[in-house]
Amino acid sequence: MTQGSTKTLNFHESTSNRGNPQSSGEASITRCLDQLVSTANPSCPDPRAPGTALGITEPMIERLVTEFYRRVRRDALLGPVFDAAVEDWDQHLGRMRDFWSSVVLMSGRYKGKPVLVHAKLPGLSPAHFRQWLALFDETARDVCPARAAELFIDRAGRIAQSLQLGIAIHSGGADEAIAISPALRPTPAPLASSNRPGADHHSRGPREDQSSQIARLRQEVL
Amino acid sequence: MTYVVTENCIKCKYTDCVEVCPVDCFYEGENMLVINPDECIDCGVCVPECPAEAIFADSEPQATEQWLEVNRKYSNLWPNIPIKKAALPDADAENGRAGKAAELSPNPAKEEVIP
Repeated sequence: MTQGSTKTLNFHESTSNRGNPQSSGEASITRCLDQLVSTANPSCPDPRAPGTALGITEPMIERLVTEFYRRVRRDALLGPVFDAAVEDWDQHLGRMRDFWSSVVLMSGRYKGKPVLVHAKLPGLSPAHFRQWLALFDETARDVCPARAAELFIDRAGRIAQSLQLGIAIHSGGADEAIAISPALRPTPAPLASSNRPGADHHSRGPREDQSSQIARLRQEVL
Repeated sequence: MTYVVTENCIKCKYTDCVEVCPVDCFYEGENMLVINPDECIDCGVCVPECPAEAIFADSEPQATEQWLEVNRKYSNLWPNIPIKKAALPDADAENGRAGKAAELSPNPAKEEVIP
């Protein structure tokens, strides 16, 4: 059985079974098929995926990822960070192809915890993220048709923003997110932690207060 | 920014979102899923995948403070769900029914033994 036919079987199975009472045997079979398919790297383009209508393909993703990381490794700011963090570049490029395939083609191939991975990297700053985005923007426009490039760039920007907030929350809490988030805006905004009520981490209350603070941050960085 | 699971997931729990989420940020209650806002990377692939159309960006009006709080709170209490499973038995009948918010179960998903 090919991967493509496995995906098709799963789609019909799960659609036809929705809402219908199942025997435990049928439910088990469906669950096993779902589990099998979830790790099977489906190759059929999903018509609902944002990249499908824009003509994004796996080979295009491969070209983008390969060229982007070629430039990253030559970049004065990013090169040393990646070379210190990546042990096996072939493996890393494969994971990045899976990641972008999951994001723009909804292939489900990548499963990971990128916030935690990035939170463990020492010394990551907003400047690193800005340079990463600038290089990715440039590469996407060089490698992809215009509309496809726009989708990649849009998603990269959103993901970079979420990663930075996630890293800040993991490593230092809401105060660091406050310090980082203005750097993500197109134009600098006067937002300093000392000017914000409740931003002093020494006086911060229980987790609910911090969560509310982070929720407000998310609204502010939009 | 994050995406937020809202009312119409309750008593449906199709779990299609789980299959496409690249960062496994869905958590499973007895009759609803939620997204951990600290783990979501804002890629948005779960949105078109939800048959109940229950997932919204936190910037959209459907993602009210009530649902932001439900996602925030329960993603710290319920178990992670990394793999799609069968929808709840009455999912299609429950899809779109009004007034489900009051029926949200605070209980975590029951552990299942996969044969």
